[in-house]
Amino acid sequence: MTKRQLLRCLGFLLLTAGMIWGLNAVMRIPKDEDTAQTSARFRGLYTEEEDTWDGVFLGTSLVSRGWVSLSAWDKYGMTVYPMSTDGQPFVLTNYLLEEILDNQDISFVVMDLHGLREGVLKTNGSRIRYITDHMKWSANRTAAITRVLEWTDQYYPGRIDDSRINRLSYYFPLLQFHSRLTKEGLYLEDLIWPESRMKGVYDLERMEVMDEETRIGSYTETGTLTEVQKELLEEFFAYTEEKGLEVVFVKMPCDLDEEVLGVMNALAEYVEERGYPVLNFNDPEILEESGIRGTDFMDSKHLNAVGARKFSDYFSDYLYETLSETGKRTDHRGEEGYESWEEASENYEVYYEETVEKMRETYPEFFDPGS
Amino acid sequence: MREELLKILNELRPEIEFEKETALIDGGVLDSFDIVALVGDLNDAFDININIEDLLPENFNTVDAMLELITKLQGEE
Amino acid sequence: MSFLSLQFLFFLPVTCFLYFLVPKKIRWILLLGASGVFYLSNSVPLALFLLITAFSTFQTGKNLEKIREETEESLKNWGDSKLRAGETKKEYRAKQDRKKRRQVLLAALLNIGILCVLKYTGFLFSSLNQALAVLGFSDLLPGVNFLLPLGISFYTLQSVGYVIDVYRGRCRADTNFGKYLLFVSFFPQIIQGPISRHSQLAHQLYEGHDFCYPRAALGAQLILWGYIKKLVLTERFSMITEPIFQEYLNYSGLTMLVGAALYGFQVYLDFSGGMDIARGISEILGISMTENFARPYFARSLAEFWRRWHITLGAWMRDYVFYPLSLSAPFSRLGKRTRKWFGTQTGKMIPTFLAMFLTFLLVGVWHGAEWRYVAYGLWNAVIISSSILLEPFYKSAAKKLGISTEGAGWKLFQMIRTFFLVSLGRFFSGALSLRSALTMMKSAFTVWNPEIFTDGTLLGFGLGRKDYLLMAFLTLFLLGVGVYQERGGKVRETVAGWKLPLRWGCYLGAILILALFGYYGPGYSAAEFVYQQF
Repeated sequence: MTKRQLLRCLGFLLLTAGMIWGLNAVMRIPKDEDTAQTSARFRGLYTEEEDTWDGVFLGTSLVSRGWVSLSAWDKYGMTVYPMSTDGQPFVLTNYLLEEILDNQDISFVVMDLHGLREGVLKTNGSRIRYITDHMKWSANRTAAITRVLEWTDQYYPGRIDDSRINRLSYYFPLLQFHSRLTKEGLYLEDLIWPESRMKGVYDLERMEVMDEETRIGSYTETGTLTEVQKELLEEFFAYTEEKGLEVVFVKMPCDLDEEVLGVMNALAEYVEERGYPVLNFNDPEILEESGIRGTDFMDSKHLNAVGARKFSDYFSDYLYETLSETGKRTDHRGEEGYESWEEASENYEVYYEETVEKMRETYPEFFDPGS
Repeated sequence: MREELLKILNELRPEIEFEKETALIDGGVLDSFDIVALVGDLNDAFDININIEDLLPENFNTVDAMLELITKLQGEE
Repeated sequence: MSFLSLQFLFFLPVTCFLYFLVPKKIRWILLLGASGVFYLSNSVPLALFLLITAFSTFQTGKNLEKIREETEESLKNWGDSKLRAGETKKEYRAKQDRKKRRQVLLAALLNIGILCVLKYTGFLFSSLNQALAVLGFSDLLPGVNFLLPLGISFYTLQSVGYVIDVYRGRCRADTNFGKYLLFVSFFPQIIQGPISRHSQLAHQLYEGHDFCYPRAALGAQLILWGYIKKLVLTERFSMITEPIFQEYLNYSGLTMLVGAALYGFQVYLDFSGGMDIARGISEILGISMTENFARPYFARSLAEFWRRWHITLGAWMRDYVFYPLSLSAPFSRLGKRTRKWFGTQTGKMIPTFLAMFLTFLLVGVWHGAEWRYVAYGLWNAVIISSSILLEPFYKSAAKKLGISTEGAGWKLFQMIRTFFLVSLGRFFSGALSLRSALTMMKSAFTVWNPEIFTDGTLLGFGLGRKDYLLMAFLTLFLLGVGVYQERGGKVRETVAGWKLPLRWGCYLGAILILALFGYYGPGYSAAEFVYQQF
């Protein structure tokens, strides 16, 4: 083989690898409407101005739909970006934080406790992929996949099909998703990652209102914790301590079985005992004070646009008061590098007004003057 | 001998110009049925015994090759 | 490990790389090692059967060689020998020949015996049970189902062929068992052939080959082509044919015919794709492997089809079954008698037809131990013999109707006729059982339902519009390639001769098709990923 042939051969292999690489980036978990929301939030992790985030809000879809990062911005000039994903596997938290710390010099983490309930811990492929398919290729991503697969096998054997090719498809999504082209086709969002115009605020129209006054879970009994839940929390404590991150817990307003609500209370007590602040919306007083009621939900679990704003305004106050004062409460408004937050805030106001207008038309009964 | 061989061949497959063919077997002109029939005819006509070992393409690809084979086998007796 | 497994994706480049890395002299050892890894990765205990076959045929080859040398030696010194006093040269030769035949027979019996026991005991027992049930005994014999050693049907024929070739003097016996073992177990061809001749393949395996870039590129092309056939097309065709053949009671009429035709094409794609991969690998290594397929769907008669389809099996059956049978003493005696009874023309054919029927019966049974394969073999024999018998009739009919039998139209008609006959045969090889094959055939010819082409029946197999478009496109492409090759074109060489951007565009396009449309990986259903909110 001549040198020329060798070079050509390498050139061809490189082109092939590049093509496969490109396909691997596109052929991932389908970015349909809902996943596109997650993609948009995740994209921010890599495209936002570096080191402009004060903290992140982690958790499941409750957070995605409930946390309006722009509330904290408007009120206090804090930048608390939502890095939540649907059914976010708690075991991936530390890897997600690792990824965030690579890009953003955050000083605190807000964590919703719902990610620790049994129903979410018992994870599945797509919940894992919401995180790993959105992460850039790195040693951390590989470690995260290996960990979550091993962990799931240990505690929930059979949840992830254990064929080798299936396992590999977590590392190389193309292995599983290449057939999308003939099955459901591609979305434009698969090729061009959508961008969040409102700092991760969930911007699908959330104007549904629950028909009747939902009983929002206020519940005071305490359930019992499992060892798995404690282990996961301890792992999280150890990591955040090592990285010098302050942690604030929240139990999002949400209606679930009483048994689950009891476990939530137990979790809240556990983290409180370990010295972490926690805002538990199971507490009737807190619920009352926040003003959140049944019509603030789009279904029994998720807040609608109005509810999200109520929750966020209330929680921003709590967060501001709770965070230690050493530099973490800097007001970034007007600072250089934070222009995009101003812009996002304006976008959000427009979006909110429009949404509320539509809701008023659809459900006049809930929007009577004076309510 | 040549004439007799050609007569046999022409009876077998009248449409083929055997003298011109150079790859009767390798070119797929004669199939295994033809070969079996041909071997039977040759055995009878020339009083020889063509063995399976002799059923090589190179022995049947041309008229000349066949003549050579016949001569060789006649000599062996 | 199969060609389609993930491990093979690593195994193949590593093997090729190492092959050209080690000194030439020991390259065959590397191939042997790779073949060992490949074989053992499937089953360690069953490899014993391969070893038995390899060793017994190797030893027989050596024995034959010894007898041959002994014979030559004795004949050379014939005058000096006093021991041979009462024996003529001819008698001595015959005696030695008998010795050799015994060796061959022993080896053939042993190895074909192993094949038969492993492959056919279950069939035999269940058939006997059925027969005994008629007599009032039920389930007298146990149901057995042996695990088959990988590639046994292929390597057995190849090794027995070797022994016969040594006997016939077509090749010299191997003296090195390691090398011979490589000939028997060479990994690209162990799973599904081709069934190679020792004189054609062995020396190529034993020599060390230099790396040749253009040749390796051609080999890689062929491998890619094979994978596209197997992963992109075969799988999609099977989405249609599998339900038709498995749940045949749900379908009827023309659907059956379409299913059979598609099934035949699917088998072709799958099998010839596998061959392309095997040949491509060999080509990279510098080894040229016999072609096993020569565009069978361009055949103009069923007999020609069999000369283009699974060529090495046909050649094996011809050389080691058909010729010996039809040239054997009993058959020539039979021929003399039939000629007397039926006249020269017809009489000559009868023993040949008989030999052909037996050969096709074997071909059928070789495919598998089931009645449907027996029927499959016989079907082919019946069609071929009747087409020979009917040929004069066809010709005179065509003449009377004023149809030219030389024109392209007639050739096309012959091809379509052959395609139809081949497809009908597929009912036997594809159906669940002989009974279901007959049910399907009956339905195919008694129910006339052309509406299936318009009412969407044929679209209801879980394939989308895009899939059908892709299949149509690739099938047309395949047809184009076939026509080009029929006219003597060399596709791969032509592509390799194109300017670099065009050439690479083709290769990358093929890889892209494979990556996007190939059936591999854990599979994906959209339902699994819809809205996974908490």
